[in-house]
Amino acid sequence: MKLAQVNDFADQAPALHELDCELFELPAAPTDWLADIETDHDDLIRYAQTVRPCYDRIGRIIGQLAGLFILARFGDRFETDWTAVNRVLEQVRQTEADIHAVWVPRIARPHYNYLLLAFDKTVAVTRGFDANLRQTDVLRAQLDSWTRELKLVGAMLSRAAAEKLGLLPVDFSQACCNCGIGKPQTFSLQL
Amino acid sequence: MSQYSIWVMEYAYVSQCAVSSVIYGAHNQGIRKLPYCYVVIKSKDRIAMVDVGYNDKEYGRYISGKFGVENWHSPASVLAPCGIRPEDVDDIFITHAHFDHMGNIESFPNAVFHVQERELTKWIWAMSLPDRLRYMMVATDPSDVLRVADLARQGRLRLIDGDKHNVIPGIDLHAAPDTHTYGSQWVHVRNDMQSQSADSWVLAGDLVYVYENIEGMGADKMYIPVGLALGSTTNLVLTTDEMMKAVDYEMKRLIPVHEERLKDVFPSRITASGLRISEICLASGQKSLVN
Repeated sequence: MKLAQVNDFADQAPALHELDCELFELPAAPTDWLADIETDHDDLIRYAQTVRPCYDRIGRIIGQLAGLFILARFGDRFETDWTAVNRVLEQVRQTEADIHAVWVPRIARPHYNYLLLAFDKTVAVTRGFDANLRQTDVLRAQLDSWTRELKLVGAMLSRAAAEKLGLLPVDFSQACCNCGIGKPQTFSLQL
Repeated sequence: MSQYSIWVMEYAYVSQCAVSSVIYGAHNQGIRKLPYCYVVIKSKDRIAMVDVGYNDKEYGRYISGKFGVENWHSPASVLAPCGIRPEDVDDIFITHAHFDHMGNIESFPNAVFHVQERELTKWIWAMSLPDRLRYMMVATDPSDVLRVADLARQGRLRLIDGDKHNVIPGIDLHAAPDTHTYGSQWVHVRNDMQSQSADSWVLAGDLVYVYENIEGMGADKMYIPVGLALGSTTNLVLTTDEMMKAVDYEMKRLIPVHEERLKDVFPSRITASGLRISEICLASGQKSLVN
């Protein structure tokens, strides 16, 4: 087999995980829960509208925490970022309130529970981080395990993505830079 | 004597890209092919890259459906004609944090990544903003920060604060704050190793998409910024002039990686995968990949 063929095969092959792969710890996600469901149902639309801000915000929270972890590793630069830490805490509080106010139809219950689990993990990391902010040695010792937890949350968000409901890890709604001609965009205006 | 060979490697493309998205204000100017590429810089004993593309497993199906991105191939496949495996790459210079430039970090298990610190800190800031300001997050993937955090854990992250000369011998990184993104950077290869190089190349990332961004669209030569500036178009235009100055205003030496017409300017070929390799220059003793 030529190298190019081997590489093509590798492109198409299913992912295999190493024995120590962190994703083995990943909680099972609801599979294809929207496959046979019409998403123009009012209940799903209502669910999507209320859960999407939470989904997006959890993504941004773990991104901010990961960024702060990087700065914490690089030592002296971290001291100036207290405001950034406070913004994360504020977003966690806001998400905590919002996610428990989400209206959840029965069909979406497994999906919602999965998101709650992801958020709980996020809250645990955030609280641990916040509690140890002034103990640099403890904080640095925890960074690896917190990073690992956040990676799990990121993977969970990825698995909880539901394109039909507009739940995606990356916001492509404004189509950056060079993303070609998309399908016509629709929007609604609430007055 | 040139120290480095440089190749622009296409890893996917959009067949029908609106011209207005790559050239500021060029509305109703039709469509064109837009390649997605990264750059390989190779010396006898070192392999570097500029950007890493995106990971099709993460977003591929969605992107291809929504934006028409076609023919994505993995780095292992794309780099094979160079005789390079992803694990051979030593250094990677990330020009900016958009998913299509840094979304495939995990494919390069041994490389050290060089990122502007400002790109990271402003990214943290952008993620902290209220939902109504989430435009600031456009085309960035929060999970990419996690991947960068993992690089930091492994000791494979270098945060660059502003310009950095000789980040590896003969290669300089130049900050371009508040341009296409908050902490973009461009790469200057001084291929003769001289501080006042007579053989230099600039790899522009997304600070310049296509040749019109450098030479304009009409008879009057002028810079026209790219279609997306999270910073300002003023900064984009001024940075374009800085990059041109670095190559003594020799336009050919400023490489816009999204430019399909690189094939008309540099020796190029299409691989069996249907992707283009453009050979920008060859180090002494390096055989051509395209002839």
